[in-house]
Amino acid sequence: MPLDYIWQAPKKMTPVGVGLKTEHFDHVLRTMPPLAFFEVHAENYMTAGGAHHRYLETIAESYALSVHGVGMSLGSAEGVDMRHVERFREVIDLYKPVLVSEHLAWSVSGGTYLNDLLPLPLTEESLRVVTDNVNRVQDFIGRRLLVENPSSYLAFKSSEMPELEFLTRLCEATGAGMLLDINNVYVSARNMGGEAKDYLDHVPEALVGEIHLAGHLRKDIDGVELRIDDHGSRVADEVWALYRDFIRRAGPKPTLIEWDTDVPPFETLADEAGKAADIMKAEYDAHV
Amino acid sequence: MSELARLQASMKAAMVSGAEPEAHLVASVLPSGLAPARRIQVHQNNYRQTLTSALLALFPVAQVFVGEQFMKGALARYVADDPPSEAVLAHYGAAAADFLQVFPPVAQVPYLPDIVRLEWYVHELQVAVEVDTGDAAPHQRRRLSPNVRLVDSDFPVLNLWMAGTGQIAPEAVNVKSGGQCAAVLLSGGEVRLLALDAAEREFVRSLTSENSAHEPVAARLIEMGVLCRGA
Repeated sequence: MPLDYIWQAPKKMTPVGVGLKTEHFDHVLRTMPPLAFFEVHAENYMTAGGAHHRYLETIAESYALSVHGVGMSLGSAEGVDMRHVERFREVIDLYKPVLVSEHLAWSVSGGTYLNDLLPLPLTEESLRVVTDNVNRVQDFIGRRLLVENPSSYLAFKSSEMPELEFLTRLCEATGAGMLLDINNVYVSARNMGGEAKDYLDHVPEALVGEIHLAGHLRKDIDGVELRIDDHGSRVADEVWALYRDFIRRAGPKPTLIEWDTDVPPFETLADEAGKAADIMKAEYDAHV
Repeated sequence: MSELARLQASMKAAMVSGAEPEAHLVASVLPSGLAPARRIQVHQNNYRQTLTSALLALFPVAQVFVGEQFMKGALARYVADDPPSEAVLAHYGAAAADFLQVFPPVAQVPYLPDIVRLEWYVHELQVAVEVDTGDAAPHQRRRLSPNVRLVDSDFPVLNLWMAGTGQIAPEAVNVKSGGQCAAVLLSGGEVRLLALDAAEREFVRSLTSENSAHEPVAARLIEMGVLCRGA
């Protein structure tokens, strides 16, 4: 299987994109914004028909697409649901995305879908489960996945290794790449302790096929501040700083702005994407 | 059952019920600053809130009659009663109307389940592919078109829907004025609502009989796209 998780935007294009929301379909088709790619959630396109398919088919004629799964449940002990994997493959076959990704998380138990990206104990047992599931999905869809680091609100006593080691070993065992969500690294470090900068400094940059950036929410629970990864605001300054440092070390990477709740006008997303492009250009220019 | 499967089953039980998590699940979580039960609650709340919001967005007309708080509460109970079995949320909510039908607080607003049913069918057909019903031979059995869903209601469900969407004044609707049969039809890529008259309603109710006395009604229903011919 080729290393097809590495995508380079067409020449002269800075590889930035935004999550494509139904609210923005008309705007995108009317203005054709200068972005390298759009990302959609695979599950939203697993319906047989609907106007959203017609919009995406038109947008896909002019833009590269990234298909991002949120419901595969790569961490399920019971294995992945092959009916879901089959629908995932149908979306990929239909839209021919340049990037395909999922999460290091689980969301299905006993056939019930819990609509959340739930944390795994980072154990050898979990690593075997996720490795088997990623292999099964990759074999079935005929291409490699990017696996995204989750945002965490709890950790298990039974964990035997740090998240980055788990992800790196998973990628080594399956040939998958990493979708590095820098906001998630920051949110998890704030919630669970640990240094986001230290995590990012040790990410094997060659494995990273895409970066996610998003805003998060601060919530006070029993006097303890918890950061919630709600994708409902601009990217935090601290996350921009981490992104700049990572790009300086790793070079340009396809970078996506996610915004899924309280979706603002398209211009706000484009403005955030512009910031990522500016950082990538500035760091790149400094190196040549 | 493996250690991981046990943990996931326990987490699922806590999320779906919204109740206090089992002791061994709480004991498996690192405390670090915030109590484990409170950390688990972040996921319990997320489950209830995200699914309730997804369903709420499907039933805006029902919400006009009973308000957001009532719908949120009722749908949260539905989410606990009938959790999704797949990750495609566009397919989730088909049984919400049946749940509301027997949900005691809805007894005060007995027409609500049929409005929810109508809205579900509109949504279901909006994400469906229109089936080509073709030109079947006249001798073939008549049947309901696969592009149609019916809401055969004891209430004036279409008038209520029109009031809920602001097309007619609420005071123009008398819920005791008798039932209406609504056909939700996917045609030419658009979903339309049609009212069936008494004869048409009677005919679709007795689709199994091929009574020739009903021919004009049947012909009209085929013309409307509500019926088609074929196996």
